[in-house]
Amino acid sequence: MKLLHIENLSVEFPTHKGPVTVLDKVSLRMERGEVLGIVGESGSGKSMLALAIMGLLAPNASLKADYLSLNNQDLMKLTEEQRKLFVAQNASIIFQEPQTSMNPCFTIGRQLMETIELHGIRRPKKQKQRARELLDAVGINEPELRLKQYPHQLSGGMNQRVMIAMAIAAEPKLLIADEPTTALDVTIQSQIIELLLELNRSREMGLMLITHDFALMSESTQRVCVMYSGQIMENAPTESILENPRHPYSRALLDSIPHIGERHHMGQRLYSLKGTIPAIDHLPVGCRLGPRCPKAAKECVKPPRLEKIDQHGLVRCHFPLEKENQSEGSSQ
Amino acid sequence: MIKILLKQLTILILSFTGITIIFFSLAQLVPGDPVILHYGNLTPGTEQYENAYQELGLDESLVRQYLIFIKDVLQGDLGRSTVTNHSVLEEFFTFFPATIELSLFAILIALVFGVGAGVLAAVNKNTWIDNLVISSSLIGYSMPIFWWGMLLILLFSLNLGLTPVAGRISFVFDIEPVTGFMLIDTLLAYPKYEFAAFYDALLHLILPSVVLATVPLAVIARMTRSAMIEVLSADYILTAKAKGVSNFKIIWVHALRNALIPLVTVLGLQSSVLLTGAILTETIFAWPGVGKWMVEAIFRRDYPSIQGGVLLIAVFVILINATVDLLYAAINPRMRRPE
Repeated sequence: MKLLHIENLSVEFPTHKGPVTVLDKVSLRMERGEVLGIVGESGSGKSMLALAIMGLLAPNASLKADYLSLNNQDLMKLTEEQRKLFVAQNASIIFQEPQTSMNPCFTIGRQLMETIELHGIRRPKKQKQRARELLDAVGINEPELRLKQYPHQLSGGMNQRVMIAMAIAAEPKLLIADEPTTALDVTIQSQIIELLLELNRSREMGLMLITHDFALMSESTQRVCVMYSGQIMENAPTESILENPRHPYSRALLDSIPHIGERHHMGQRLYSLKGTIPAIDHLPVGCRLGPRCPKAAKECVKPPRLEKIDQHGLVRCHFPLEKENQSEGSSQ
Repeated sequence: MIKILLKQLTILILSFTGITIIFFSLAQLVPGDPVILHYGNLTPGTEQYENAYQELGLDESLVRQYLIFIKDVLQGDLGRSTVTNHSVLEEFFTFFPATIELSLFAILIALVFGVGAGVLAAVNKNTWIDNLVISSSLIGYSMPIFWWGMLLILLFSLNLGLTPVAGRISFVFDIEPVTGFMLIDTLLAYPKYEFAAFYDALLHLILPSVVLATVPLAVIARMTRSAMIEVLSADYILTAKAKGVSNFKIIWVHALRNALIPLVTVLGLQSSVLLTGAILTETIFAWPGVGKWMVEAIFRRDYPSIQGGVLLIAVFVILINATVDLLYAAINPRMRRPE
């Protein structure tokens, strides 16, 4: 049973220079209850992917896909209204900034109860009861008081918990967490991730964890998609990627993580790729990583395809790294 | 909330003191001898003149004169009109209900249509609807309202004959002024003319309030538009969409509730524009309100009336702004103290 099945999803935006493609033929699958990580730099299109799945793209965006199904329902066959309803019932999303993701003019209770009402509970008394249960489920104490408070009266971590409570109100089969901890303190970060994982286990709710933090990914996900410039570069089980990344970009991301205990000599810099992610309306010819790739060769002016590597996963590279090359590339 | 109330009260007292000081100083600058202004042509040096001089308290120091002035104002004594010899305060409040009625109606029109147009423009950003709203609000904002008023009279009253040219009610109706608000008074006199008088009063009210509403409407429309555009791109709107909230509710509840916050401030600032506009509008439509009363006082050089009128209008603007500030605190949860 597929929870999420995407084949060749592309998203285009019109600009005065003509249309730009922010997502280029993205394909991925999620099983029920799976935890999938999407990792990439800012501007790699990972948030755009989340919005596209949720149907929250700006009205001027155009979405094309060979196949897009959620919970075995082909979304492309539904009308706009049907799709909105179906997605709201089956998937939820939480965002990076919990403080701005909630309406500042309404109390926590009103926002929670609104969500609960949308999922069929009409009687206010029952709505309130359910709201208390939900706050309890995400580990918020004094739910009675919180229901009467406004978002600005709660801390960031607490607000993110409320967002999660709101997200699970519909008992969704898929929860997309778009950088859920980036705006929070480090100590709160792990609490939130733990909460998400616990909900994933106890409710058999698929979790798509979007982040630019590979370290966070390594502890919590079963599978990772590495995105760059609107394309999936590598899609493989988390363990394989951590032990043996096959794409030079995944390698670079891993090497840019500072390790505790590993002494860095004075003046030695953390590894980073040269240059920055290309502007989406000014992409390089061929492989999009090309100009920044340490392994780039003549052939890289031809766009590589996402190809299967046995016992690993999918990699988009003409010269995938070999198994034994583990430490190469980090010496810079 | 109590803290906000106290703060507003302090501001109120301070601005009142400021206004009275400015007022008192202005009265000193009025050209001519105050004794002659009050009592007619007395020759300086005569006993009569000296008596009058003392009676007006002009032999006191300026500070004492100011304090006496404040005492009189607080007791509601703003002097007597030199033309009618009625108390200025009483005259002001005879004419004030007409102005309030007109202004309330105008602000109602401005709010309903201004907010409506602004929301419509924001939702249809960069389409012909948006352009239409922006350009007509610019025209509305820049048009001199006395000219606009005359154009409307020409079209609706003279050419189409739909609305009366001037006044608050036709002469055939004899309505006893109970509250001073014509719409209410015509209803209070109900069995006498059935609803004919009320309907007639309403017809009289439409054109002047449309004219008076024009500038605030344009400002409110533009303000609503920009506030809504900003709010609609906020994260919580995305959250609401993801939850499956209907478009209608997102726009008119989630977004508008937040866009109202900057709008309330604009509303307060527009109140003084409205009272200034009322002076022009009332003159054009022969509307018997304080605006027309003040203009007449100016033409008759009725200084006590002019001064009293301006002071009272200033006090009302301060009061309205204080109310608006309280309203602002009430609708913006972030202004309240965290519990």
